[in-house]
Amino acid sequence: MARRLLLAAAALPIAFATAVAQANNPAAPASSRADYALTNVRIVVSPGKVIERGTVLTRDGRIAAVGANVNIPAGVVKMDLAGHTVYAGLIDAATSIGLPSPTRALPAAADAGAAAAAGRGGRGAAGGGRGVPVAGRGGPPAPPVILPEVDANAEAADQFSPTEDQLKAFRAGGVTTVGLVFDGGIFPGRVGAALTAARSSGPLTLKSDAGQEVAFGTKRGGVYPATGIGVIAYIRQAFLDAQYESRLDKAFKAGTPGGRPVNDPFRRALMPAATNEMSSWFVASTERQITRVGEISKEMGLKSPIVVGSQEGWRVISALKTSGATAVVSLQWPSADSITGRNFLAVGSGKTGVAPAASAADIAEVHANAAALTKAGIPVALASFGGESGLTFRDRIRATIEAGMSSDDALKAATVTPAAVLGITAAVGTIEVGKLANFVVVSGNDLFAATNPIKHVFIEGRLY
Amino acid sequence: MNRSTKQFAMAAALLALSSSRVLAQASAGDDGTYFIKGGTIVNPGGQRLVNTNILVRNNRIVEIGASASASDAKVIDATGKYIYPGMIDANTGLGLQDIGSVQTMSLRSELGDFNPHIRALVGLNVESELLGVTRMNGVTTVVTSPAGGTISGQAAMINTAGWNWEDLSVVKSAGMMFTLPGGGGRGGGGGGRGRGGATANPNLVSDFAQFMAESKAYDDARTAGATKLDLIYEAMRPLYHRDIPAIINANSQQDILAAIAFGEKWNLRVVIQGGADAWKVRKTLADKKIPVILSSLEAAPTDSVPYDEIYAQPGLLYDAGVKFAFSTGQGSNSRHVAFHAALATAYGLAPEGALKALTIWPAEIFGAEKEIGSIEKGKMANFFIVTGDPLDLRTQVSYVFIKGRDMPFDDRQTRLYLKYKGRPVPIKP
Amino acid sequence: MRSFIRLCALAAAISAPVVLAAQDLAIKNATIITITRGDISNGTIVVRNGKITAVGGADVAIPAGVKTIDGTGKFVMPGIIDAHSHAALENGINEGSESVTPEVQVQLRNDDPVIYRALAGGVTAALLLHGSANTIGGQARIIKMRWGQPADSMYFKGAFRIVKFALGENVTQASSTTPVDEKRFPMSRMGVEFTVRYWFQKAKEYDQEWNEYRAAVKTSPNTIMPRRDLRLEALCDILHGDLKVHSHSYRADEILMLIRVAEENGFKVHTFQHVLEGYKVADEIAKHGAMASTFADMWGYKVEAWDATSYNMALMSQRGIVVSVNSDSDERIRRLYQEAGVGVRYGNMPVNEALKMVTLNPAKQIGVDKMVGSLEPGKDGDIAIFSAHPFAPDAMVEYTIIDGKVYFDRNQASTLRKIAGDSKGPGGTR
Repeated sequence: MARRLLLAAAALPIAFATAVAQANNPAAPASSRADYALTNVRIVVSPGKVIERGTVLTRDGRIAAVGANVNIPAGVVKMDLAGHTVYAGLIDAATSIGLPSPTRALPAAADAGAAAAAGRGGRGAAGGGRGVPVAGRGGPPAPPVILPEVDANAEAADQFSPTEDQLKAFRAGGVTTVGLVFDGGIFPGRVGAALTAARSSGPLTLKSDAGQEVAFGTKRGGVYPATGIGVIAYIRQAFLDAQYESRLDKAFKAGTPGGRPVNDPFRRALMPAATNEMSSWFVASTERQITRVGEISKEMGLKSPIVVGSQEGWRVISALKTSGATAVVSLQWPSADSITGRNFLAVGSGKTGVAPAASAADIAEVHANAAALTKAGIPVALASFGGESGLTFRDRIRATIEAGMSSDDALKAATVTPAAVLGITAAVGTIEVGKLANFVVVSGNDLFAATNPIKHVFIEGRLY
Repeated sequence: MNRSTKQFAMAAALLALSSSRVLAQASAGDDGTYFIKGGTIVNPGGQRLVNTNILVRNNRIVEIGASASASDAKVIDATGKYIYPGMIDANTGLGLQDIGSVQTMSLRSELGDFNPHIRALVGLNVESELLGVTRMNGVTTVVTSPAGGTISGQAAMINTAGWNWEDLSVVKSAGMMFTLPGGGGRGGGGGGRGRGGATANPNLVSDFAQFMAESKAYDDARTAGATKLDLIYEAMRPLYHRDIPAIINANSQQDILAAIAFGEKWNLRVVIQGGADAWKVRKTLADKKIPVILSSLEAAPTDSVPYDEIYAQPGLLYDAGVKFAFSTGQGSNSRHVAFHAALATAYGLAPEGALKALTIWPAEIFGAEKEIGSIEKGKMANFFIVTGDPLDLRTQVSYVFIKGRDMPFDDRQTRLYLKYKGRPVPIKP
Repeated sequence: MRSFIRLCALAAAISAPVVLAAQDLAIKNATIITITRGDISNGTIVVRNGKITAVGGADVAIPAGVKTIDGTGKFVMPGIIDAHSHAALENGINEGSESVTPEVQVQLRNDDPVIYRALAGGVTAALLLHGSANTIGGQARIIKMRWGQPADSMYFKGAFRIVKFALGENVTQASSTTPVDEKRFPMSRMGVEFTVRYWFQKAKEYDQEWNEYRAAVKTSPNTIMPRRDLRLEALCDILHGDLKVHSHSYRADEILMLIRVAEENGFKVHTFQHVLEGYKVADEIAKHGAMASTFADMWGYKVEAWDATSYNMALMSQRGIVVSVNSDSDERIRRLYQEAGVGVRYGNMPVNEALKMVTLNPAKQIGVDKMVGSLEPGKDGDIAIFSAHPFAPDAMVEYTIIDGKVYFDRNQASTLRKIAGDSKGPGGTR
């Protein structure tokens, strides 16, 4: 903890220096786009693929050429970056920064009871509301209210509304792209992807339907499902209903008798995920939550679920492997004292009945989560989910490397894999011709070395 | 299997006996003369008196020994059985509450923070179904206490049978119940409603200090001859004269030490009530001769202590020389206080200590040792006759005597048992 | 990972020699309470590969190399089974938002220290039930107390699927202060009865819909598969006997009511839970074929517990009902053997009939009596070793063993005497 604070403090002057450098560069005022030639630079094209000295050429925000010998056309801003290394911009695979909370307050008129009564996102007709119909009770039907925790049609990309400071903070750590995942709810909407460019540069959205998010939150107002145990049943029923809708849909298109979809917007929103046309992103951190994701995926026939958080992933590697999951590993490490199973040490073998305080080795074990999953062959994307991104994200990747992950694996987990899992590989993740000109430039030859300050960040060809 | 059959046969015989007694008497007992012959008397701290007789007359034990006899007495054959002094539950709500969830049946606390003038004795319902169920397992005496507030009121030591609360009483004012403010410990029993309202008194600590100072000044003035009466302060005087103990609810080590300091400051006789952490200060408690009323052993420990802390503590206290008693704290299962003692025995309390803590020690703590707590000539005839160790679950209770009266097995549970035991098998239509 | 293994290894090292991964174990010179085959003095029991291979006298041979506990002076009984607990659960035990939620299942919290403390009371298995807020609540988890294992390694394989019903004060929210016009249906015992009837009618219609589909799809493959409804599916599982009903109940009227509604609707009440007035309708319960899991002495805490008696166990047992005594409490789960003994004190049950109430009978109620509940060759090596007869005043659990593996060993445990640094006294270092 003390060390983390020190690093954060050390980062401040770096950010300041970067800002000064930008201000001093007349060729590239912030947020202006030119075509650039980055010359004499060490290029990490993709993890493990390096051009020791070469040129990266951008045009109209995209990568036009990469190589040891690239012809530089006229009118291009040349930047001699000898002694520097250029990487593909980092991708933080999951953040809720800039997104509204699914548990935000509702407009005064729309209480949860009304929302439940309206039924959207609730149980369908056969669910039958709160038990048994009560004769002689109930007034006029309440207007439909969509609770944000079960608003499966919501798009994180659409609702992404970060402040300029938040965007700057992402960029300061080399993060040029983010996966957008709501924090909380049950079916809070769809996962998206966005750039971290200045808002003045245009729309940030890269993808609005990267996945369907599923989380183990509860519905407010004491309505079903009001508890974590109810939520599991609710999620299973929701997938079943979406699959039923899909059957009706197909039957309708085929002209099968009786085949008419219900056209409930909640069910239709979940249809792609329930039929594996879209991936399901489960927010699950603990051992038992991750196991539960495996169980639900198996029962519902979901292929390759994404497990966002995965903080105790190393404890349930077989569950992750069996379900073919990709782990979007949050680098917000839980306290080693709070890990599932600490209680096993607390009684029976200790002297006081209290678990021994976490040792350095225990903490290292928690930090080595991503490394352990990678070693086990589980695809890993790194994320800041649940905390700050930007500089601390880079610091935490560094700690992950120190805990046993190779630099190449870490880079892959912060570029190629998140691009793949977010479905934006065509646009980002490597320095290849045709992709967006998203770069991070550091002095020296290691993006993750603490001593190497981030010199420049490019997003879609703009220099920051 | 043979043994089982035999046991069933024994049970049937016993029940035949008890059911006839149910039919014969719906009574709080007969003040008659009883001659109990051939039993083995087990007294705390004493030798077993084998094959001995007891003569009971006018509520008291008038003779013990092989030669005791009386021609006018009703004879009870205790051959092969054991006679124990009636067991004592040192803190309950018996008589003050019946069904816990029914507010009108649970009137154990009074409004206000400082209620020394409130007396448990006068609010006791002798027909409480809980009393009958309690006594029929050999618990003949309990302390029943008011709850809530800082000074909850005066506890009473009562028998579990009697014709009215005066008849029930063993010690009318057995102690003053305290929950000191500002402790912040694990203690229960506090949280009484503030004077005249539902909100807690934010000045409780200073108000309490003032109350103590004023009541002490009143006591000094009265001792010096003042005659003007204040009913509330007057109720504090027995405390200052050490006639009754201050029973202070304290569980954490810090709260126990605070309770001791409070007693020393005001020169009170302190009894610790609760005492979850008493083992941590057992030497202090032993040195200062401060007794402890343990709260229920039927409790789950917190995660940070040894799993057996609650069960093993009485053994530690006993070994350290701390005087203590068991309590259930409630009413419906006060009858099972012996099973608390059994848990303590299993986890290291000497059997001798368990018996003392169920009988003579609570009698001594509340000043009733001349009346109850052991089977001795001249004492109130509170004892019960059993087939074995009362802490052993296999033991059957044959007779219960309270104040020299043979208690009929007519408690609520036995009544229902006998009624439905006798239900004919339904006739098929 | 390394450090976790290291710590576990350390714990194991501390606990040597008895806590071993090997699931071979023998106990000799002990009094063995088999439950089904009487008591054996100076007995021997052998567990190989997690299963009991031999139970008998001193002549039973212990294979070479099998770790052996000397049981001199000790009493060995089957591991205790708790037929009603809410320990070791998380994310709520009551999905009380609606009155009928059998699609819900409780979730195990495998690192709840209550599991360890239950082990220290000789408990080796437990039925973890949904709460009693609903007429038809959620499904249960049945576990072996394999402390230290992942959640899915603790589930008792081969046990029943069980769902909780509830009747009376809790389900009608009788003590709730919610205004009447905001209350959830039902708010009376009468409404509870209708709720059960209403939902089983729906379930039968649902069952019919699926039967029709299954018939139709054979000839018309394009027939659209109906909507799956997890709630109604669970109710159909009850109708088909695949999901066993354990019903929270107190009063005789509601017990009889559920029996009749069940019979009218074609399902069975497998076990009545609490069933405090079961003694009043014992013949009706026995005739229906239901079992009973009750409290030893809990009574008087609410109106519907006013006629509870400790004789209930003996009375129901005498009328032929399979009776267990349960904890329903993180406290009582520590001393269920005492609770069973209350059945001897009140009603003078034969000692081994009383012990059945925490061994073989709860095993029947959770569907594992072929595997556990008595000490017989072929059954699981789930064993509790006591310092004295479990009903004696000095009865303390010294070892608790599951599948032949020692999960609790008093010698290795953190105890108050050890913490206090005080090993003198009659208890010694116990």
